[in-house]
Amino acid sequence: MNPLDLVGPQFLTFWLAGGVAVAVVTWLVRVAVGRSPRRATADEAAAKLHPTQVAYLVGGIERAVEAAVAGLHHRGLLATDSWLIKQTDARGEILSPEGVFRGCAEPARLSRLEQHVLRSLPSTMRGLIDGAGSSAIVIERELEEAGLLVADRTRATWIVRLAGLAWLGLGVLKIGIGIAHARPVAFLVLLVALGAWLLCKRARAPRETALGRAVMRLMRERHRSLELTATTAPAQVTADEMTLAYGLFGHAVAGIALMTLMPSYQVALVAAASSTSSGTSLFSGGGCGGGGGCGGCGGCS
Amino acid sequence: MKGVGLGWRPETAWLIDQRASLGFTEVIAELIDPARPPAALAAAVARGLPVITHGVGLSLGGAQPVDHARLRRLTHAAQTLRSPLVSEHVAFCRAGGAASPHFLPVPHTRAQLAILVDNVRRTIDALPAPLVLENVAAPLRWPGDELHEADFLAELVDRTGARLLLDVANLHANLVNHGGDLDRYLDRLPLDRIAYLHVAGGARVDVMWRDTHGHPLTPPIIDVLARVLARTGPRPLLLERDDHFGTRGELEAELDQLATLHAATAAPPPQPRPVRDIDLPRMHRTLRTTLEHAQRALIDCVTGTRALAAFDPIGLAEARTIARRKAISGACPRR
Repeated sequence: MNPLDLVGPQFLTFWLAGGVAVAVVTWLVRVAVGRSPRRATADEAAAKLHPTQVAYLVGGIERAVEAAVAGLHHRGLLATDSWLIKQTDARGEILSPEGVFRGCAEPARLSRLEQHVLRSLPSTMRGLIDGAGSSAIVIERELEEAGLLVADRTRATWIVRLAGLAWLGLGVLKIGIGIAHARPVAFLVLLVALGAWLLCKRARAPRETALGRAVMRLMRERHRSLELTATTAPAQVTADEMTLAYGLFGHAVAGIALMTLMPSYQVALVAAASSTSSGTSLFSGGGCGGGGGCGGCGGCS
Repeated sequence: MKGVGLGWRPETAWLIDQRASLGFTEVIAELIDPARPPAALAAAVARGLPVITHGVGLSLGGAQPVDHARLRRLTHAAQTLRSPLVSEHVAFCRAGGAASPHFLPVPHTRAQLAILVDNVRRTIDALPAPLVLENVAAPLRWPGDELHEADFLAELVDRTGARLLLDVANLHANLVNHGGDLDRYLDRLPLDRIAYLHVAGGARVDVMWRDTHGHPLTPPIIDVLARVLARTGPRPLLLERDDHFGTRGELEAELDQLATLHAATAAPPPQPRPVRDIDLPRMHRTLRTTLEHAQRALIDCVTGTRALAAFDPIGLAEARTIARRKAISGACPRR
């Protein structure tokens, strides 16, 4: 049976049923692509990570640079001056490895990213993040080699989309045949457009492998007490622990002066402000006597 | 439960997590939700660290029977944390509808002891773990005390079956502020009933020693602790710190110091049990009502401006200062 010979509702039924099958296949391929090539346990993988790598795994280069800044600030190596971050005149001996923290190797010296931050000062946070491209590439490669990030994500995404593309291609072909035979194709065009949108939005290779996600879960779970202590008594944690805490839990663990400089905090602030303002407008809508039916709001004034 | 422990606070959670040699910890029950304790604390329980539930708001020494809701909450916390012990203070913080932000010492009278015995027995019946009673630092003494504090505590544990939590810092504060001899105090205590010890830093403020829990351990406290351990033998020992936590290195150094002291403690020779002959009045409503009036008057005096000539003005001023400071931290929750 050639599906292109099906007409009207028959083809639509076939094509929609095929869409369900394609969704299942796409999901299975996505899971397969997200498998780690390494056979390590989450515990073993976590033990080899530097805190800045953990931060990158959790939130990419922005989180990693923010975490590095939090750790260097905790070491006393940098200070804030309005929006500018400057290096202090602290001596090198502060850099000696300090403390131990579970789940990560103790660094013998500053990581590449931390060195980049120090070299780039004075700078704004945005400047540090934008200038960290080469460090990002190196960390990304290290995490891919460790089996925690999906390697060549663009290629992997196209692999995930293959079945969907074939499915869309069939739909497009049928639209062409329909137009050639002067048949109505508007509904199919709509469905294909919807399918294309879904494919673009949802059918992507995951950023982290299953092992990478397991490592993040494990480390968050293990470091709940670090989150509490770093937030309430920072003097009780070492600089590397502060980097790790920031990497895992974000800007909430940083002191207020440092936190306000962080782009992630500013984004969160804007999001909170916009949700507050949308809340206000909803409230106003409710006051219109119609709530959801605010079509009549124009008459409220 | 053995060795040296550290009080669980968000500020010490990481150190408690990291210090493998830590013997146990203790958490203030009123500061956690028994149904959902902090994940870090739950993790400590899960990995087998003994967690003692420490109550500060039961008002065991109050004139009225203990509040059922508070007792249920304490029980729930002890169950959630799988506590081997539950500890509370020999003190009161509510009377006649008034509350003090910090617990206050009870009068060492036979009437108070009779009421305490009744309250403690009811509490023991409700708790899922043995109850341990802690001596408090008393900024003031009640006029008309009939019993020595040590005799009062000894009789209380003898009559109820509860065990003792000897707070060395509180003992030191009381000896400094009100006079007395440590050895004679210890002679009168049933030392074999001591379940564990508290130790904490303090500071001299004007003429009073204040048990701040915010200062490092100092030689006088360590000296008292060493003398207590020499009499009790090696007992579980908990470092309390509620403020000015310093660096982890500083706190670990204190724990190391305590561990060294604890390890060097030898078992003491058997000591004769003190003999007491204390008659208690029969429990009746008037006994509770009379005490309630007196306790309410002291709470009003400590939390307000009312003056009570019967109390030492310096001790009263100290109690007011502590109450003001504790009002912020909510040491004895009113709710």
